[in-house]
Amino acid sequence: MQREYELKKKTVSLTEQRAELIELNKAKDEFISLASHQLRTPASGVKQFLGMMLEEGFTKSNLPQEHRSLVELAYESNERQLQVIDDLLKVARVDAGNVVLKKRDFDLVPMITDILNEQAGTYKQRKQSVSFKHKLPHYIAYADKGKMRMVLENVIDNASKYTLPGKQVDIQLKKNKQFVDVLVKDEGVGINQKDIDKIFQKFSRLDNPLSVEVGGTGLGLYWAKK
Amino acid sequence: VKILLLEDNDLLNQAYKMILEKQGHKIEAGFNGEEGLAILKKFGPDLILLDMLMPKMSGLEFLKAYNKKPNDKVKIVLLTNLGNQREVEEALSLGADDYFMKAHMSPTELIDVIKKFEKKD
Repeated sequence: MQREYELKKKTVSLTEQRAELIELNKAKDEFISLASHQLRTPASGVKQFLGMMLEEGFTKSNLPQEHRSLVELAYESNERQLQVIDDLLKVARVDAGNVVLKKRDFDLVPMITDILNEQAGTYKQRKQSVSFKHKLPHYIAYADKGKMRMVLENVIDNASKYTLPGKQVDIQLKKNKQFVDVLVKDEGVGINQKDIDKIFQKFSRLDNPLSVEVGGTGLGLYWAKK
Repeated sequence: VKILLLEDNDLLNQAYKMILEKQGHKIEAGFNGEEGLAILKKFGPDLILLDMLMPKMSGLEFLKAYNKKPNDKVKIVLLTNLGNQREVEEALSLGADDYFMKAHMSPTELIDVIKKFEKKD
């Protein structure tokens, strides 16, 4: 009798704790969502005003070079802040299970071509070249098109970020029985065998020659894998 | 282009207005959907820049109240943020023509948005 009573008591206590944890987790997600919005709006304002100083046609005179480089740094810093906010929000959503995948058939070839066109400026700026190889004209995947695009943008940008100037990134599509493989190969700083699992962990950033320069939140690949 | 700008954040509202006025566009600005509906009647804009999250009357509520007809030539462009995909889809089904991520849009890109719709007319 005594044991049965204790068991019941523990079950009640666990049920209460579970409800409390679910509640707390919900509050955490709401907080991140609210905080992201509140942080993002003023940062978007900073982007507009600094952008007007840097882009042509908004002010009567151009910025002196000495000031321009400082404003450019402020702009970059603000961009990074906006990126962190976006990453936090994306991760909070995926962790909370709020991401609903709308799967349908689509062609990966035009999607990757489009991403490469969009990122061409960044590759050029980093003096890197990129190749895209696909034996067949179409590779049809069944997935959420929007999310897949974001994942591929992330991985392709990642390949460029951790590659030194003058090097190459190769993207290839391959079909096996059931799936289409998207292979992204870079000539980057590389990953130690022992660290391979870490790159997909939340807030994980590996120490390498480019990690400081690149910045980053350690959330991008975590989100992409999720 | 006559543009009705609806954005609740004071600084962003001011920034977008400055950017677009520099291009010679005529701007009337409001801070929520209710103000938008009031300005709409007097102003007769060619294009509406519509923030989604606003107090009193949100972007979605504004679209429902506006009740855009298929032959209406006014273009509606949503100003939104990442993570509001569901609201954006609902807004597009309510007659919005396009949407842009506020945090990713630079002044020149905002100008390009307007140019894109200017060409279509």
